[in-house]
Amino acid sequence: MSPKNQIDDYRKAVAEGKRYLRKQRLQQEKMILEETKKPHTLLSPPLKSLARMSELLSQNYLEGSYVNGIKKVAWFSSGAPTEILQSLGFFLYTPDNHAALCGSRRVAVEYCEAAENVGYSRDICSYARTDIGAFLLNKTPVGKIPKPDLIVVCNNICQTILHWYQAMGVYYDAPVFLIDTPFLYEDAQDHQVEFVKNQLEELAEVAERISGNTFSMKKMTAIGDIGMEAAAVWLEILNKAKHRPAPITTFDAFILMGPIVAMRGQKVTLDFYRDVLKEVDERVKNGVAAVITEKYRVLWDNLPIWYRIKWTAETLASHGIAAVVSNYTLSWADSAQKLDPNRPIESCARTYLKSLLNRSAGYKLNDMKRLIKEFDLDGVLFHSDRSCKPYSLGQEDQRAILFDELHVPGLIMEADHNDARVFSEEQVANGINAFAEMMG
Amino acid sequence: MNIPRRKDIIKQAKEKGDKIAAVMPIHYPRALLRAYGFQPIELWGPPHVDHMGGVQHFPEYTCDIVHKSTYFLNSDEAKDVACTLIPHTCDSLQGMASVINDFIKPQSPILTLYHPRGRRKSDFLFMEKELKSLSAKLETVSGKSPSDSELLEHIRLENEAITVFEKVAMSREQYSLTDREFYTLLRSREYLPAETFIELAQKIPAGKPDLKGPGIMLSGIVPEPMALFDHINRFGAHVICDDLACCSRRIYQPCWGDDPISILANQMLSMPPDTTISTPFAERFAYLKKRVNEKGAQGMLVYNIKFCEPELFYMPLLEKAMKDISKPFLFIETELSDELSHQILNRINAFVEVLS
Repeated sequence: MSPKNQIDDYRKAVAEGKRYLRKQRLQQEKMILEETKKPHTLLSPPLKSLARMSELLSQNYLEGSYVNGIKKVAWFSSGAPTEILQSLGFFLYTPDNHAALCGSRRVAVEYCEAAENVGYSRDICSYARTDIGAFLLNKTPVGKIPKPDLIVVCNNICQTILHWYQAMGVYYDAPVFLIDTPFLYEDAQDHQVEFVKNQLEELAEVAERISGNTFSMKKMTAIGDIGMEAAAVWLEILNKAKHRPAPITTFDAFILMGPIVAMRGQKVTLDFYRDVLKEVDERVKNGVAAVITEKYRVLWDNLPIWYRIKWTAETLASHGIAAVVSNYTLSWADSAQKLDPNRPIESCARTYLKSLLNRSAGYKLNDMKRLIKEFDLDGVLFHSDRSCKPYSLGQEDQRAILFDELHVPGLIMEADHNDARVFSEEQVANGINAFAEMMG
Repeated sequence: MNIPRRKDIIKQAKEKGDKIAAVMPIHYPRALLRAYGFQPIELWGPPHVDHMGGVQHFPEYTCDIVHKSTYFLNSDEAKDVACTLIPHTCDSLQGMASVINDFIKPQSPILTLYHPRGRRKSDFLFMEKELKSLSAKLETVSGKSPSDSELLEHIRLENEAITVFEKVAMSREQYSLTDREFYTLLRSREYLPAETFIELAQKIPAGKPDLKGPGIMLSGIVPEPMALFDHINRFGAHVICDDLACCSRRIYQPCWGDDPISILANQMLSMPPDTTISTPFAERFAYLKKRVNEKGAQGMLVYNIKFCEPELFYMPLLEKAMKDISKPFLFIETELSDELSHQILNRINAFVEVLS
C-alpha cells in the first residue's frame, strides 16, 4: 500500500470510528440521565462525564489500532514523563492503562493465565502478566495494540515496571529507554534531580532520532503547561470530595483517571476535566451525595481492585462508608504544584522523581495524616495488594501508627489489583463489616 | 579448610577498633566501608532466624531475606551492628529500608545506596555522587575521615581480593574441594576482610577434585541451605559454575586511577549481568551461554527465594533460551530454611537424571 493510501485509510477508519463512538456516548449519556430520575438507596448514579471519558479513551485506542506506519509509537509507563515524546509527535500508548482496563473488563485473569502458562510466576505483578498474556494470546479488548518504536519506562512507581517493560521490549523487539529515578528515602537531593534531568536530555536525543523530528523546548513547554493545568483541574476535582456529603467517591475517581494517566498534555484531556469539574460542582451545589447515606469517610490506600470496583463501592456504601480520597488517584495531581514552565526539563525531573510511590513509607504516612485532617476522615482502607509490593510494604506499621497517634482505625484488605483469583469476597465483606463497627 | 567464622571476624574487628556494618544484598563498595573503619558483614537472611519475626512489619508475600533480616536487626543478636547499609536492590529491600528507617527506628543508623540500573554516562556521574553522599554518612557514623591515599590503599586491597575471587570462582575444576567446601569458601567473602580472604585462597588445596556426573550451572540469589550442594552430589551431579547473586554476580572489574570515588563508581557498574540491575535479557543470556559453554555445564538449575521478582521476570525467557541451546533447565523456588523439602529434592533428583 502506498503511504498516501495508508494515510487515507487511517483517516477514514478513525473518522468512522469516532462517529460511532460519539453515537455510543450520546446513548450512554441518555441512559445515565434516565438513571438520575430513578430513586437510589446506596450510590448516586454515575456522573454523565463517564460517557465522555469512555469516548475519549476509546478514541485514543481506536487511533492506536491504525497508527503504525502513520506515526511513530512510544509506549510509556504511567509515571513516565510524556512531554518530550508528545512534542516530537509520537503516538503514546501506556500498557499500565491497558492492563487496568483489562482488569475492569474482567479479561485480565485469562491473560494472566496465558503468561503463567509460559512460565511467568503468579507472584509477579498482575498488570505485567495481563499485558504479557495479551501479547501471547494476541487479544485485547481495545481493538489492536500499537507496536512500539520506542518503549520509555520510568521506575518512579516500582522496579517491577522495568522488568515488565524489558520483557515487552523482547517480545515486541523494540528499544527500551529507562528513566531511572532513585528512590527518595528523604527529600530529593540535588544529584538525584540532576541524574533524572541528564536522562531526560538523553531521552530527547534518542526520541528525536527515532521520530525523525527536531526537539523543540518551546513545544515541550506548551505541552507541559497543558498537562500542568489538567493536573490542577484533576486535583480540584478530587478535592471536591472534602465537601460533606462527598459529591464523588474515590471509585468515581478511579474510573475518571484514565485520561490524566494516558493522555495528559492533550488539550482534549484538559477540556474533559474542566467539564467534569463543572458537573461535580453542580452536585455540590445541589447537595448530591455520592454515597446516599454517607456516615463514615475513609481513605483508600493503594491501587483499586479493578474487577470489583462496583462491588467494593456498594459494599462500603451499604455500611454508610464513603471512600472519599485515595493517594493513588492523587498521584496524578502531583505535577499541578511542581512543574515550572521556565525550567521545563529540570522541573520535569523534579516532578517525576517526587512521585508518591517513589517516596518513603514515612512520607506516605505523613501524607495520610494530612488527608485524614483535610478530608475529615474516620478510617483508612489499606488494600494489601499481593502483586504490588512497593505500595503495600509499610501498611502494617502505617495502620498501627495512625491508630496509636490519631485513633483512626484501619482495615487491611488482602486482594490484588488485577488478579481476581486471589480475591475472597466473603473475607473482604467480613473485614468491611468489622471496620464499620470499629468506626461506629 | 579452616575458614574463620563470622563471629570470629566480628570479634577480631572489634578488637582492632573497627565497627561492624551489617550489609544487605547485593552490590556495595567494600573498600569505602573499610576505609571508614567498618567491617562489612552481609546479611542473606540469616536462614536460622524465625520468619514470623518480620511478619508484623511485612506481608507474607515479601521475601524471606526481608522478613528474617528485619527481625535479626531488631534483635539482641545484632547488638554489635554500628550501622546497616541497605543497597537499593529491589522493591522489597527498598521497602525494608524505608520501614526500618521510618517506623522501627533501630539504635544504629540505616544507610542506603541507590545503584543505577543503566550503564550510561549519566549513570556513572550519578554513581560518583551517590558514593560521595554515602561517604559523608559514613563519616558521620564513624567519626573518621580517611584521606584519598588511605581509600586508594583499601581499593588496591579489594582489587586484589576481586582478582583472587574471580580466579577461584572461575576455576572450580582446579581445586580439590567438595562443592559445599568450594562454595562455603566463596561465600566467606560475605564477611571476610579482603586480606583474610586472599590469604585463605592461597591455602586452597590444588588438584583435580572428585567431580562426579554431569556439571551444572547454579543460578539464583543464595544457595541456602548449603546442604543443597551435598544433595546435588548425592544425586550424581556437581556444580561446575555459578551465577549466584552472592558469588559470581559480584565479580567486579578491578579498576585503577587517582580518584578513589571515580574508581569505585566504575567498579560498582562493572559487575556481570544481574537480574537486580535489570540487565537486558539478550545481554544476560549471551553471558550465561558463554559461561555454560566454557565450563561444559550440561544444564542450569535456578534456585530462587520465593517472591524474588527480579529473578522471576527472567525465568520464562531464560528457560526457553536455555532449552533452545539444548541445556535442560530447572527452576526451584523455596523459602530460606535449614532443610530442603522432599518435593524439592525429588525435582533435583529427576533433573540430574535427565542430565545423566
